[in-house]
Amino acid sequence: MSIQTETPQTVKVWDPLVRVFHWSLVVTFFLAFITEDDWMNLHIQAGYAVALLIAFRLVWGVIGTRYARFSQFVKAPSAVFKYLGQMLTLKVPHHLGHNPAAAAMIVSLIVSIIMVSFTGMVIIAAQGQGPLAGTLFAGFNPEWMEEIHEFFANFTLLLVILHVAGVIVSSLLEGENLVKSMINGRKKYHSEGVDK
Amino acid sequence: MNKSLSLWSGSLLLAAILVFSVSAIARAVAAGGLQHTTIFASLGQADQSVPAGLYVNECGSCHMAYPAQLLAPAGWALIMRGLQDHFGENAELDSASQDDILQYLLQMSGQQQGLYRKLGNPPQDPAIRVSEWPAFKQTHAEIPARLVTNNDKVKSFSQCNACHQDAEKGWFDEDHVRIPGATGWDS
Repeated sequence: MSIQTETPQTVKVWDPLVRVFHWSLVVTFFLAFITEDDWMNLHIQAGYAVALLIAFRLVWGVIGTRYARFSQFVKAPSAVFKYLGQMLTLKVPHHLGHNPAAAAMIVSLIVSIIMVSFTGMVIIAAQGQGPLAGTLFAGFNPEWMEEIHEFFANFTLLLVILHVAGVIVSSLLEGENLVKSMINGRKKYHSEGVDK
Repeated sequence: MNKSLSLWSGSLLLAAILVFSVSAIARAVAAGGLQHTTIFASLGQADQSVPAGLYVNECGSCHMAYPAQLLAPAGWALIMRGLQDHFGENAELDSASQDDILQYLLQMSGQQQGLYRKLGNPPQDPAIRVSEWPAFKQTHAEIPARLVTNNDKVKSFSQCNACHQDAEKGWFDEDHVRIPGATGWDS
């Protein structure tokens, strides 16, 4: 990783695929969320887009660039709670990649979105549509599936709100605009960073 | 994995997903995605043909003339062969009318890409009672009995058009529902 010489020093952290993935997910998730069951054709297509993007992220989390890999940022729950405790004291160790709390948020978002996508496809499978039509999932009770689908859709929205709040808090603690980092991929380089 | 190989395969995968998704979303918008299109979409215009008129006159004199596309051909055959005991009533017609109506229903049922397939009713062995269709049960589970079976203005879940005002034209959109006698801020 090359380090730029101008001050403040910034380095490339989020690769272009991570960033395109991130903002595409933002757009498609909200498209699916607002179209819900009144614009079913559009809702289903937006939902497929969300599911495919998550599938891409799972692959990229294994074969991707350094800071895109799950092995680089996913930490044990104890590390997450320790980091959250440090946030309360307003003094956090600097992470160039995702901090442990952000990593927990990413894992939660991915799991929650997988639940939404899967139950969505199960619901339409009961009506003979989608990739799960004709599989054993088509026999699942669609009413129950719809309840779970709605729960996780709303839960994902709650996570998104917490995610944005976390980004704002971290931006203030780190003195860096982290939204901008997800646009241009660059973050300030700290020589004392724990994962540089 | 080799660094540039993974970068290439990741880029191709993401590009393919984005191209697929954008075109699928664009097609959904072009196909009327910005109009309300629930799974129970419109069945189209009311039919003006002679057999359609016969169907609406004969069957529609006692109950709503259900859009033929809602039920698989096998279901219509079952109904039309059992008119002497039609949900407990004798609804027999002269055999010529019966044949003409069945022909009309069979023909219409196959239109709209077999919309009946989306209702979860097995096409080979369909339930002929509307309230037994999986999609029906799914969408009406939260409607309390006091608004339907205990409601003098509705009486039965089989009376689609009591609440779905445009049901005979095939329009079952939830925004077009008005349950008669229901008291609430929007009724």
